[in-house]
Amino acid sequence: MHRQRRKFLWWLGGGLIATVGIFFLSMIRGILYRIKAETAPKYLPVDLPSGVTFHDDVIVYRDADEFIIMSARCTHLGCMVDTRQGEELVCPCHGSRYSMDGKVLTGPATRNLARLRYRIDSKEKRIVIEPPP
Amino acid sequence: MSHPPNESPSLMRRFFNSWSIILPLPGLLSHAAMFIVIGSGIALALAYDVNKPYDALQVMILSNPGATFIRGIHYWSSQFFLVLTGLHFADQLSRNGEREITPGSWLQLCLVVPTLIFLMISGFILKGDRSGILAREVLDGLLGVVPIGTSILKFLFLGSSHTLQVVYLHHVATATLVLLVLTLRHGERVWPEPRSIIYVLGFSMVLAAVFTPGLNAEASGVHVRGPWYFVGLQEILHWTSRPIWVVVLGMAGFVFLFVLPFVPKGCSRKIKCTILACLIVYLSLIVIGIFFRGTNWELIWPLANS
Repeated sequence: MHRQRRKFLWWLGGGLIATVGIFFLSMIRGILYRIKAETAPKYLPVDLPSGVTFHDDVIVYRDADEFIIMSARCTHLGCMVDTRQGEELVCPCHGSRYSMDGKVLTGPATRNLARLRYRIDSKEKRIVIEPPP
Repeated sequence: MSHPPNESPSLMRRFFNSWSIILPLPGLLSHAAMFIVIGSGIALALAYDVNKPYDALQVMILSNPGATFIRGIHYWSSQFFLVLTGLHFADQLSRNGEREITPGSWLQLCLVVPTLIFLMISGFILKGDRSGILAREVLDGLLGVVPIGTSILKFLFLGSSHTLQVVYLHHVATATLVLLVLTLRHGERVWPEPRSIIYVLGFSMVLAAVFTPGLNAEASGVHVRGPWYFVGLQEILHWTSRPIWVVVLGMAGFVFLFVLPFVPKGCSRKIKCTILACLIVYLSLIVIGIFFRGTNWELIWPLANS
């Protein structure tokens, strides 16, 4: 009886460790996925209209042939800056305002929107946006 | 009650004494609300699609009045649960109830506060509309200011950014189970009192029938308001450039709550007064955020935009 209980507890403990192990493995996989998604290059068509356009977590400001490509993440708390009011970009979460080229105008954010490095792939007619360093 | 015979009861004690004449105690009502939230949540979980949450809820609102009604009950009973749990804490603290239980039990009850807040905000995120998405980003940002283990914390609570799977899992299972474990032993009863169920369910049903909780109507606005209980936090974050202070203050609040039974009564009284003052300030910020904050982040007079 005692041996059977010990055997049962061994199985139970093993099962518990396996479950926790699987959970941690899936967690590490998820973190790696997140890192991979954040570090993958993004592609946009090169024929974007002039002015500001929003592309998920990227904002593009085009003036003739000049591009300014910025992260849409508000530097205050990481909300997506996805609205424009007149000549200002506004964070909908806490009201930080940026100029069209990403300079902070009013807080709570204190830093400008992060500029992203990019290159024009003229062969594929697309903008290749490098992930932030 | 617990006050000496020659001392008149405090305003709060008088409030709860009057309350108990008309209604069941907040703790009993809160227990009933928890069961109604869980019951209606189980029914809702069937119709929820974690891959297309917003679409699933929109279809439900447009084509399924029964499910919409249950969603309304889930929403309103959860609001009651939050408020009643707060009142139950206030009731017990005003009669020094924290000194009548073991330190372990008190720690469990203190842990109810962050668990309940997480349940409420995860429910808000699961709407999947713009305000839900932004709430997730704010939570992600707040976890991001924690100096250590940021990636693990973010993944543990929010999962991958492209799906609501982990948030959904925590909302319907993990956090709910934690809440049940934390509260059921404290309540010394499993099933709620019938009279309390009738009150909470009745009020929730009436409110669900009259005010259907919709999805975010201000989809293109420059000011997206969070859930009412986080509007105060949104106001604080609007004014501060260093969100880490919000995390530090939240943790300090938890520590102050936990140490209440272990400090001398005079000190405990001062901490309670401080908590009450902070709560009044926070409630005032909620009022400011809801009624005095315009769609353009400017301060306005109430109803000025309507």
